[in-house]
Amino acid sequence: MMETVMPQRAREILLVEDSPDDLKMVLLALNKSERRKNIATSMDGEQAMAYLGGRAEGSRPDLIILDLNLPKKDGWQVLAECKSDAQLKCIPIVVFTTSESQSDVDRCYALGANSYVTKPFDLDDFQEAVGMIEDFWLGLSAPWVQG
Amino acid sequence: MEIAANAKILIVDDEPNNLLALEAILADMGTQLVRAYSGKEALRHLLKDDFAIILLDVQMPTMDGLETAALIRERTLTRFTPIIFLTAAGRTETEISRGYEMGAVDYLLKPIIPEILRQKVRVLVDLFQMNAEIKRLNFELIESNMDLERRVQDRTAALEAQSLDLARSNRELAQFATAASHDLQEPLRTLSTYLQLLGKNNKGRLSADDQEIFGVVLDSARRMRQLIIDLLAFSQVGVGERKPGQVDCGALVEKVLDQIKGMVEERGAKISVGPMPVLNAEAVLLGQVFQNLIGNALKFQKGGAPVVEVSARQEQGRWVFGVRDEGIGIAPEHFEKVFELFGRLHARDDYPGNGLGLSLCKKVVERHGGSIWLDPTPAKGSTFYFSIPHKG
Repeated sequence: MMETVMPQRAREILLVEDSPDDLKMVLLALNKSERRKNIATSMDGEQAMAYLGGRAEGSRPDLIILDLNLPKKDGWQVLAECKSDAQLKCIPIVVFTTSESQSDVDRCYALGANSYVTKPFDLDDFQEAVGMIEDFWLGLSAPWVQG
Repeated sequence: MEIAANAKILIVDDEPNNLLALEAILADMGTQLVRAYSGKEALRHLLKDDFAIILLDVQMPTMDGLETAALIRERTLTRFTPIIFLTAAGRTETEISRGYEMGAVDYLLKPIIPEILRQKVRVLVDLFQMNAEIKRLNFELIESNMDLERRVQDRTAALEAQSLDLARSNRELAQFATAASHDLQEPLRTLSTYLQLLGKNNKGRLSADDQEIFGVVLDSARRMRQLIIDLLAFSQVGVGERKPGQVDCGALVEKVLDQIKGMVEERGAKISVGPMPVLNAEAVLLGQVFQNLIGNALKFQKGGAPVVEVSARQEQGRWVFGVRDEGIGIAPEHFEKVFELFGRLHARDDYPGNGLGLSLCKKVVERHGGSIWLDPTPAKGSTFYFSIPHKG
């Protein structure tokens, strides 16, 4: 009996960010790395949930980078809905936001966030932070998602 | 309540001639005379009017003076109206004593000696007028008491409403500050990162002047960021639940010193910390106080290695902490200003800062029920003290 080895598809990051400036800055940082990956973007929470709901099993993103202050459906709601959905809850979600407030951090972890990173003020730090998020969550060899 | 300008006198006699005689005697005394020809009529007048004196003939048909007096005394309103009995001479002692029992204040024997009657009437009218004045004053007192009470109640209600308003607007202000600070941070961060990106993209192509301009703008953005962070911290004091607990101040100061280790080492500061208590407080906030005071002690120096002494002593139900330095000191006329929001004494180029640190300290200490002040006569430099009361 032979096992078919599926060609590994490119990893995918869903970037949920309403500010075009931050979106551009994060994309700039993500594109610095050599890793082959697809990047999908949503400008609000509703769009993000629609995108996730429309993806078949096996083609869901491998990582969600989520801003908190979003129009229509905010980051907390997206977080709560993903983490209470049997299909979506194993997608790692990294909250990437301006807020440094402890209550926001606590609330996100309580809702099941996998990581919480405050957007750094300096360009180098910002790019480094994005690079580390990508390295950590996509660089892991373990097949996270489609199990 | 009005008092009659003229006191009224009720004269009671069944004999019109006697009444005439009485009127003649009392005519020019400035009193108003009211006639009654019988005890019954007298009682009718007494129902309508308030009298200063009643001159009452004893011998009257159907209801004599004594009976009339008894009825007068039964009524609350006339119980204390003075009655002078008028009676013919030659009456027995027992009748006179009965008259007094009935409430007579005096007894005059006919024929009446005008001067004596006038004397007696004058004394009683004076008494009546004094009484009326006392009644009036008393009434005024009650009135003004009631008014005062009403005003106190109104004022209390207004104050209560005001303090509710104040608490609400304080809360709103804090919420506003928090929201504004968060929302201000975002565009500021965008400004900073994009500016740096611009600098990076043009690296090597900028003139020395333009480089400097870049530096100024970036520095301003960083300073503004620090300001927003400090404002946020300031606005957060007193908002939300109090979370007091046992705080080991020794460990707290050590932690603070660790956080500002870079600054301490850079300046070669000598910091000594005396024995510190364990007390009930909000650790995070108290840590901010130590950090600001020690940070200031390191910052405001003439040059040379800073010497800072942190101490604590117990006195009358409170702990008093001291942070002493040998730096540039503060002139006594500025002792108040340093605690004001954005209060600064020096140019930013000389000593950086945004004037929020000590206002934050004051707010935190006052939230704990304590106070913060400066040693009025320091040997050198300045010494800040703050107190934290013991919790029962």
